[in-house]
Amino acid sequence: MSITTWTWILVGVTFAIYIIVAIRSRAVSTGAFYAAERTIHPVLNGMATGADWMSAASFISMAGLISFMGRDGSMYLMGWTGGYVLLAMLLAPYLRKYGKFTVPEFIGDRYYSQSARIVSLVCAIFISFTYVAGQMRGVGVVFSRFLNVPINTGVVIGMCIVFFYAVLGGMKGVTYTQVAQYCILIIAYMIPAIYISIMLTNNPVPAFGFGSSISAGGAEILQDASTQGRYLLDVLDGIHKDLGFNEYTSGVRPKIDIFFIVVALMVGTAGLPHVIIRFFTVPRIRDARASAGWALFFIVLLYTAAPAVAAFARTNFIKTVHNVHYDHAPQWFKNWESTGLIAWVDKNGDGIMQYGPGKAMTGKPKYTGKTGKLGQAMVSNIITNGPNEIYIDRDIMVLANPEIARLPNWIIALVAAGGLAAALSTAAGLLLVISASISHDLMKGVLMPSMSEKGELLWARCGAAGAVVIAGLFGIFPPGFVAQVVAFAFGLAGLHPFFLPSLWEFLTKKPTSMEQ
Amino acid sequence: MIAGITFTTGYIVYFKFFNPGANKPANWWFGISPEGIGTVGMIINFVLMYVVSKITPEPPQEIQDLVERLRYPVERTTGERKISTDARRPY
Repeated sequence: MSITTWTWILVGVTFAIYIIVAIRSRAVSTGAFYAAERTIHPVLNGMATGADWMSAASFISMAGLISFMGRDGSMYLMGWTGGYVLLAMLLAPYLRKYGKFTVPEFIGDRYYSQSARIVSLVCAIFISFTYVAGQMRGVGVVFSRFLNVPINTGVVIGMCIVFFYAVLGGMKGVTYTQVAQYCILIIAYMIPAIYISIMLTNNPVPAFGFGSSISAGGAEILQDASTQGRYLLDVLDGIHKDLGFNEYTSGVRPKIDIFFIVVALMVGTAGLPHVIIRFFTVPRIRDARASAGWALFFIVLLYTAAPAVAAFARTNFIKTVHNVHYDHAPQWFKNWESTGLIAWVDKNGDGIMQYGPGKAMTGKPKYTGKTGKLGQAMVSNIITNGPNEIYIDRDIMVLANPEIARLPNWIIALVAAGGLAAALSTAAGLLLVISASISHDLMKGVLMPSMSEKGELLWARCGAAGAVVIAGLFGIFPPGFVAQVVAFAFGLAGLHPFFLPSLWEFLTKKPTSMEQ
Repeated sequence: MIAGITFTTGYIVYFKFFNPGANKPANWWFGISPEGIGTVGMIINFVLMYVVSKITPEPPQEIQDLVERLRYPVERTTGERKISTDARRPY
């Protein structure tokens, strides 16, 4: 069966699972819609939090980032996981003790100010909408890459699925769906990682294979017998030096900059509203801290594999592509040429693909539809003067990884299902924040305090529905500055007014007042 | 919050949009990139918050009681600690 057929089957099965879970988890009260009736087991909440947090960026882009940045990429690993330590120690149990439904509600009570509540809900909505724009676009991109469906059609399909389980089930439906999505995404990520780790180093644990030496089979795959018995990272450092890059393990950013970025990412992660609200769903206060710990464990399963995937893919890519005649290029290279994620320009006319520092061309490849004399896809971009002839997108390090490792088609298709699970799970969590902010904080909390529970539940469902539609529109018409805005959303989350005074109170035992 | 976000936004806007050619480690403040400057903004927030809290009145007693109640996950009674088991009690 072809990759496309397998992808349709696996995506169809996973979507059916989400719909069945949503039907069985219908929310019939505001307690169920906002906080899943506080019945979620800490382990399940940890899985749901892991899926809620790990979006398409973690699943698809992070390993690619690390493969290009080397040691400096570790700041993302440390920052994004360190945020959960802050959550577990400083936020989760205290929020659960507070016991209401939303962060803006806490802000309003703590600062005895409706204005503060409104500022907080505006922050929450802004953060969530900017973040969800990227996720919906990611859903469309995965559909277009793996299923040959136009991006906008993929966005609409994703919208329909999220609409179903977010509007019907609220937090209850979203939580159990996220548990299913976590299982799918971790299996989809780990199977290729484990397989490649065994292929290159004979070690089934990717994190350990990362620090292991190349096996005989690995040397054969890398087409270089001299790599056998040498540590993978030593091989990669040597390759980098030979090609004119900085050593993979050395990094270029100043250490003080790495430290400050890590702290910013930690605080930003801890302040994300769709992560914070997950801790309202557990039965007991101690369960909040426990579920933060479980979330960290489930996230670490992927985050310790990511640098391994990055190093495996980078080594494999350079060894099998650099200085190779295009006629002997691996099949995965030619398969992905048409997707815009990889391209080759024969600058010196020798037919040999050369990889090196610098850009091969300006911007992303713009294909002319014609092929060169060797059959390569031609581009209309301005070609740069440097020695590098290959354009490679970072996302390919995960998306093409199973093909690079020559895994079966069903595993390649599983990566698509995993990417969709990651994007949809995060999108659902963000949409719930928007829905709760509108119905509970704005309508019930400020504009219509005497609204009945039935009325509030109706507003919650309408808010979720409206948020899905607007998020879908962002996915179809993305702002040109999505990446920068997402980074700004993280920064705004880190300065979220809630986080600082909580930390302040923890340190000084004296409540602060609002005048600042 | 306004102080921190203004500082952070200004730093980012300067290096990313206003003068991107200067966006190099040699020109960064103490070697901190625009991606990491949010931490400094947070520290500015902390300092200002401390100063403001010293020169403004304390919050009402009920708010102080709320913070005190949140700080300890166990309920305190005279002479002994009692664990709060009924977490389904709303507030």
